[in-house]
Amino acid sequence: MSTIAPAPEKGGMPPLRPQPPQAKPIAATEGNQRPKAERKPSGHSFATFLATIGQLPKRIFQTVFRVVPYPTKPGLIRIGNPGSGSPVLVTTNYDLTVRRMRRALEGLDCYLLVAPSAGIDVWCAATGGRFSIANVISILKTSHIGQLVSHRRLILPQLSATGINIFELRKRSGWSAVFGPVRAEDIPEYLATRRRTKSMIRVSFTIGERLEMATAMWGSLCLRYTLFPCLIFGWRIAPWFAVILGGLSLAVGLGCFKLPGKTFVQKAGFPGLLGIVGLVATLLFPWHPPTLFVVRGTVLIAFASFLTGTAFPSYSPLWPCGYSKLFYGACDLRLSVIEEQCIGCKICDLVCPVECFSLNANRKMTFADADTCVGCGACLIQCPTDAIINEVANEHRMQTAHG
Amino acid sequence: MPYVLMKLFEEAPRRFDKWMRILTLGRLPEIRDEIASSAAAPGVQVLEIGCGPGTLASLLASRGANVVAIDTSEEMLQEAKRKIEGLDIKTRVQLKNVSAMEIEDQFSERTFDRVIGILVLSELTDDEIDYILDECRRVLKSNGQLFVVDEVEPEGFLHRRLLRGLRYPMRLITFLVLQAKDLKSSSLWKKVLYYVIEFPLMLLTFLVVPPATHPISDLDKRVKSAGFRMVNSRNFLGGTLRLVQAERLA
Repeated sequence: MSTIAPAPEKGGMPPLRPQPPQAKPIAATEGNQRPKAERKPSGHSFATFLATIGQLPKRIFQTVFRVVPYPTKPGLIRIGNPGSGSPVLVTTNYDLTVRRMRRALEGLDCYLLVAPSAGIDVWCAATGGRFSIANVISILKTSHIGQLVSHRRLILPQLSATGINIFELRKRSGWSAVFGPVRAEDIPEYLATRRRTKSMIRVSFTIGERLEMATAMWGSLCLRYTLFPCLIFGWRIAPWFAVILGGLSLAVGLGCFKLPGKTFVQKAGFPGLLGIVGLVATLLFPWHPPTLFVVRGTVLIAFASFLTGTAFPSYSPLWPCGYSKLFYGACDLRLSVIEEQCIGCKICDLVCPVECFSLNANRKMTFADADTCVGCGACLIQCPTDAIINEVANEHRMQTAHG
Repeated sequence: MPYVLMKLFEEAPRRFDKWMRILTLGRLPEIRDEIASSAAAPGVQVLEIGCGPGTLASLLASRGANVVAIDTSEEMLQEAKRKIEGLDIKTRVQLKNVSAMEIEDQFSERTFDRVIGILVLSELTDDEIDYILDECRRVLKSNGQLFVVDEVEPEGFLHRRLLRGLRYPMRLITFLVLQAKDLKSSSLWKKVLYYVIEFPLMLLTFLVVPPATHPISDLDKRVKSAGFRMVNSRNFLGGTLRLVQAERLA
């Protein structure tokens, strides 16, 4: 299950329209321009329209049940006309991830290696041990990529840093690896400039991404918890519960930065309380709904706002997940840097999705901000001198992270 | 037979052999003996892929063969180490934490007289199987032999349907039990709660993800196309388990 850190690997809404089949290839020199700008609106035909309709059930499934793995065939994908010097990118075999990679890479010439990762997205698979060095080696060997390119350099998605130690990868496979950007959309710019800007390294949580994750949370909360109120009030309240969960998911998802309260239970409690007050207020009117309806509604809203509040951090890339903590005892990370061992290589900062580290006066890294840390563990895995330690001894996490 | 249950027993290396014997209705020890008697001889170099708790490796070594046994599970290797500890065969068994995909990097061409893999290939994807068979040929000396024992689909139509019907619920059980793997330290009520809450999502996941192990299709054909000549092959347990012995073509 991909519940360890179910955050989106890439942003943006799922593609609803078919992409034009051909995009004008862009030269490396003008690679700074996003291929999107080069696309022509033509290329739509009835056939592509039908293909989209056929894809619709799958797309809906993948949007609502985003936490469920969805494998596609692992293997080598040639993008454009790659040659022996073309870059080699690696990703996991989550269907949505591969689709977004293809879309983002359109117009470029490169190889895309889709590693077998049980159909889980990059971040979750890497953290849960399903996208590890062994998986990368597997795809390197079976794709025979070594015979296709003259170099031995891989570009890994940055969020795979929670599971793939690049120093060990080089030792075991002979391929050196660098981390690319977090989001697929940034890859064309990264390939053109070979520099990762700050916005490429850090995870974002834009309004589109929040909507996506709210939908995903709604789907899985409905699946997980509808049983409980149904046991008390009967099966008929199931659609009501789904509607309430939907409203609250949307409210928390869109208002996660703005809502009052420190914890997310408080944040979700705010719209929940508004709903309950509104519902109870209807009793003041002469044509009010039956009292039993109001009582049930109050209980449902209270339960739903508790659920959305506890679940939401797990669906965000910015807050550590409480759900996994409850069951796995994972995610309990309190990091500190042993200054004597730090060599100031800055890899921890370069793989940190939320900017926890800063350089101190001695040119050593310090763990600056414990509140922003999402507990992904990327720095722990990558640090070449083991200078970063987890103060909460948590063997379980290390075991899973190393597969 | 539902060899997918094997994934459950991998969690307990010490009892793994016992469970595998039950799962194969007592046939696996027989198969091991058969392989050991035809593969091992004093001075013969053997590579065992996926050695598990090292039962076959020690059997081969006790017949005088020099065995390199590889596995990716550190717990299994520890158990194997414990098994050969203090015995005189210890010097002839070399245990390594190497995955089957890394044979290419670890061993040079024409190193071994025998390569053996029991119930290993069925855990891999089709591409990986073909790659590994290729590598097996590469590391074998001329006239070296490959022994593969693995799950296959039986020949008869009805028989095949029946076994598929049997395998599906077994796969589900295996899948569901393995979901709690990460909850080892949790209390019982937490485990129960976890299953109640997660069951719908688990079921959905089970329906979309491929099985952990699968019967190999066209095992003989694949072995042949990797550059081998069939020497011997036998079916066990109603054609669900197949032993293939093949020789490297010069």
